[in-house]
Amino acid sequence: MLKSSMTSQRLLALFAVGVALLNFPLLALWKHEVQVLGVPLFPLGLFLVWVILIVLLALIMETGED
Amino acid sequence: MLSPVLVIGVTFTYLLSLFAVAYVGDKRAEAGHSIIASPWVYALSMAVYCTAWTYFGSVGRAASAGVWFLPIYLGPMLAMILAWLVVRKMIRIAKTYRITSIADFIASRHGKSPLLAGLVTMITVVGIVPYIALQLKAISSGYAVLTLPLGEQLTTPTDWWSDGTLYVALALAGFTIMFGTRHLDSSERHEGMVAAIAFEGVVKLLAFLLVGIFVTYGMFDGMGDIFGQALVSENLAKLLAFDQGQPFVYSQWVTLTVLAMLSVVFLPRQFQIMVVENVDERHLRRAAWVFPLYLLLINIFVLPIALGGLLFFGEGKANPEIFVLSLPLAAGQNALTLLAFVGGVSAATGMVIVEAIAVSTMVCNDLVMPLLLRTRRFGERSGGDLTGLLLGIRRLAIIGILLLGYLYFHLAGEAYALVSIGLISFAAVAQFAPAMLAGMYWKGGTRNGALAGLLAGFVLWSYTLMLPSLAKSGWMPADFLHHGLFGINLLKPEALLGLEGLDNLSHSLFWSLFANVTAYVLVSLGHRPSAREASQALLFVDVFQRTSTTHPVFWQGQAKVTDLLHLAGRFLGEKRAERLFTDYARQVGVHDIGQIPADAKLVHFVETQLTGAIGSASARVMVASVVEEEALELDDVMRILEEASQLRAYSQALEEKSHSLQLATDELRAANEKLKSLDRLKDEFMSSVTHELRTPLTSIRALTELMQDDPDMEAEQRQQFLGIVVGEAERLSRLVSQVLDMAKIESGHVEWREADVDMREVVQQAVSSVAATCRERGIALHMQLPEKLAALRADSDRLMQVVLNLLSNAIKFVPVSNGRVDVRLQDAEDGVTVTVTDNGPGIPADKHVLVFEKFRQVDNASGSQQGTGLGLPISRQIVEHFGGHMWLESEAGRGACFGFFLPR
Repeated sequence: MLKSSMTSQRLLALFAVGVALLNFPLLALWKHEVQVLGVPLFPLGLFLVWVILIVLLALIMETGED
Repeated sequence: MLSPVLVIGVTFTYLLSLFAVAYVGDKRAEAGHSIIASPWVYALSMAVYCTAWTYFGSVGRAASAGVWFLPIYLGPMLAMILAWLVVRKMIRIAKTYRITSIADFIASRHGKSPLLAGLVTMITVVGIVPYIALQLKAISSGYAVLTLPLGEQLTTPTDWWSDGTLYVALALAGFTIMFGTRHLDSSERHEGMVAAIAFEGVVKLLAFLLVGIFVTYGMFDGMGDIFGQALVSENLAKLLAFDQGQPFVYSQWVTLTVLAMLSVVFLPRQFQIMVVENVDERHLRRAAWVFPLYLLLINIFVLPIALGGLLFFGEGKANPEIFVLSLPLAAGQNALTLLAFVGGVSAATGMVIVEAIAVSTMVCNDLVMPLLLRTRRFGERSGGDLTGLLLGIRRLAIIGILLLGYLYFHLAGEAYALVSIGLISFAAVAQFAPAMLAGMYWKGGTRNGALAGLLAGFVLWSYTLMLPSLAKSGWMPADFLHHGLFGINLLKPEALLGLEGLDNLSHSLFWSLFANVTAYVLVSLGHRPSAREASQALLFVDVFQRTSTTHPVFWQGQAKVTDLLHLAGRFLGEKRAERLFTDYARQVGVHDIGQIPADAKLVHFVETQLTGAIGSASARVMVASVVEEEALELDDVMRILEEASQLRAYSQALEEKSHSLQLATDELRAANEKLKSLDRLKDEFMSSVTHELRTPLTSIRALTELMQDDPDMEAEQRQQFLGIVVGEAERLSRLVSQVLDMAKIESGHVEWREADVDMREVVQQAVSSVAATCRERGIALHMQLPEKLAALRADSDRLMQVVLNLLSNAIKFVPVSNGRVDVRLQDAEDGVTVTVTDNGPGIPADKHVLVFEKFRQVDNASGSQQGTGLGLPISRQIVEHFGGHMWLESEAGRGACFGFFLPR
């Protein structure tokens, strides 16, 4: 019971982080005309956030108990 | 350009292989080895989210708006973070109450209202038809690209029967019918279909990735090259910039993300795959992150393909929505082009199949059946089996949905880009979110609230999004767009009540959802929920708190088992119904169907089974038609709920009680075992003691009788006998005192006199007291003591007893003429060690344990038994009392060494 509510809280926290990262004003963090390995920062940054969210979600889901 | 025969041949071969997968899936499911019972397959089947819209439309969107294709996939990412909390609850509710569609979910939650189910179905059909049209458009324009010379447009044929798209629609309908309506399943699960959809998920991902890799690394020199070239061109560089020459439109970004978040759960096909077809809710754990990963992978090459196409063909020269096909085709890669087309076909067919199955279930259960059940003619025909009818309705519904899609494609599809069409559908299904989500977490929602909310949302969606889209494609007058309805400016559909500054999608979503939520909440709060609404709300919101044994059943009245069986038979088939009833009979503990008690539980059981087949609203009507119901008041709901929670409390208390009883029983059993073994030990002890007592008594008696019978016995002989008698009597008294001693030690009644003991003194005294005996028998007795020894806290008399016992044992067993006994006292940091070593016959290793047991005298070589068999056990008890331990080191024939250690 305790562990399952842990999972719920982690998920809610991750959701809040995700919403914040993909919204005003943090989205403007990628507003630089810079290329990393030839790829412009704006699309690259979004994919980066995406990967981080997936990894964190996988960690929470695969380690939590029912 | 490829030959039409080749394209059609390959497509059909692919569709046939899809069938093979579905066939295997169904067969395996029947054999009990489900191939879809895996979180990976579950995640892949969720990828039905990626339709032709993703496959072709994303590239088109990226070619005109840069990264703006992404919110549609970031929304699902955010939604899947909460899937474990929200979707799992939906799955649990749907499984518990056999809910098979969104319409049924919303209707069942709000008091099983047929009206509500019908409204949701209507909205779904209207909202989803453009989306199906989109898939048809994708397949037909993809086919055109492959078979027509480069750059040539597909001309619409003049005769309707020569339009290829119509045949595509019909072929897909046939396909869907074979996949989804081969037989009637009361839980609406289609294992084979899900297997095929997961397979399609793999195909479209691989095809898209291959095209992406070919374009990026075959036609260009990697990502850096494409982006580098694009950044040089002024227009393309703008696409890649953050603000694209104007302020970043956060409102639209948020709208798209929210829309996608809601759609990934509330689109009928997503609900079908995620909730209805779910095998095990634990699969959600892995699928929750694998599905977003899939979306990430399929989006990696969207920008490179879009930019590559723009660079390759030149801006505005070719339709970006078919770059996935036209780029490999222009590069002469015919095989890859065909594969890309197959990927697109699989994206489109997957969506159409699942969507059509889901919508046809809704149309049948929530629109057609309730109407049919109302008509009197149908009521008169009530005798027959209706399973065939149900399947027939669904098949017709599938054909109808696809033909509607074709019609929309024909009327409006050409004018609109793929992406815009998809977004219209997304905004329609987003209207279900308030009733669904609030229904799952808020008990106050009522039927009227849901009706009001859905109607308000739907009307505003139609007025602000759907109708403008039709007007813009020229199928209705566009006057109201610019001047408002009846010329009232405030009613302009894209700036309602003067709300301006939002793009039309955000504007529409805001107004429709705002009106939807407001109406839902306000109307719900405006009146008390009815008994049925309140009971359904409880069942939904508290689904995780209910278990099968303490489920409250909100029903009262009288029913007959035969009526219910007959009813179930009509909708589920005679055989199936009979099997269900037999299982139920076993569950409630009776032998055959006739003995089943016709109580509320049975009525609930039948209603749930029927819900799976015909929807909750129709099931309610049908069950009500064969039983005599008493109207349920709100008070009854409260009473039933209280009874159920009391029952739950009782069962919990009972469980606890039985648990503690179990514990007590275990304890008692253990105690009993211990008592039994102690009893056995006592018996053994008693028999040993009596045996030991009898031996000396027998010899005393025999000798004294001899002396009594023979008064003339020679003095010498008499003296000898008397000597033996005295010795045996001594042995007897020693035995008795040792038995008493043992008993005292074991029962803890000994008085230990603890004082500072000098162990050297104890050993010396003991040795000197046996010295005489040793000299008599010619035994060499050696003693080895340390110079100085710190005192111990112990009882010196008792320790003396121990040392003496060891010494007398040793003396007893050494050979008479050349015997040798060594006593050694050793000092150590933590205590002292005393060892007594002899050169007697020794004790074999397997008897080492025995010598410390009571009355166990190990046979020695001479065979004589001289001790009581209690000396060593008593000694060990004494040593252990002072915290030490005693041991034996010996081998047969090599003497023995007894030792003990006493800590300080």
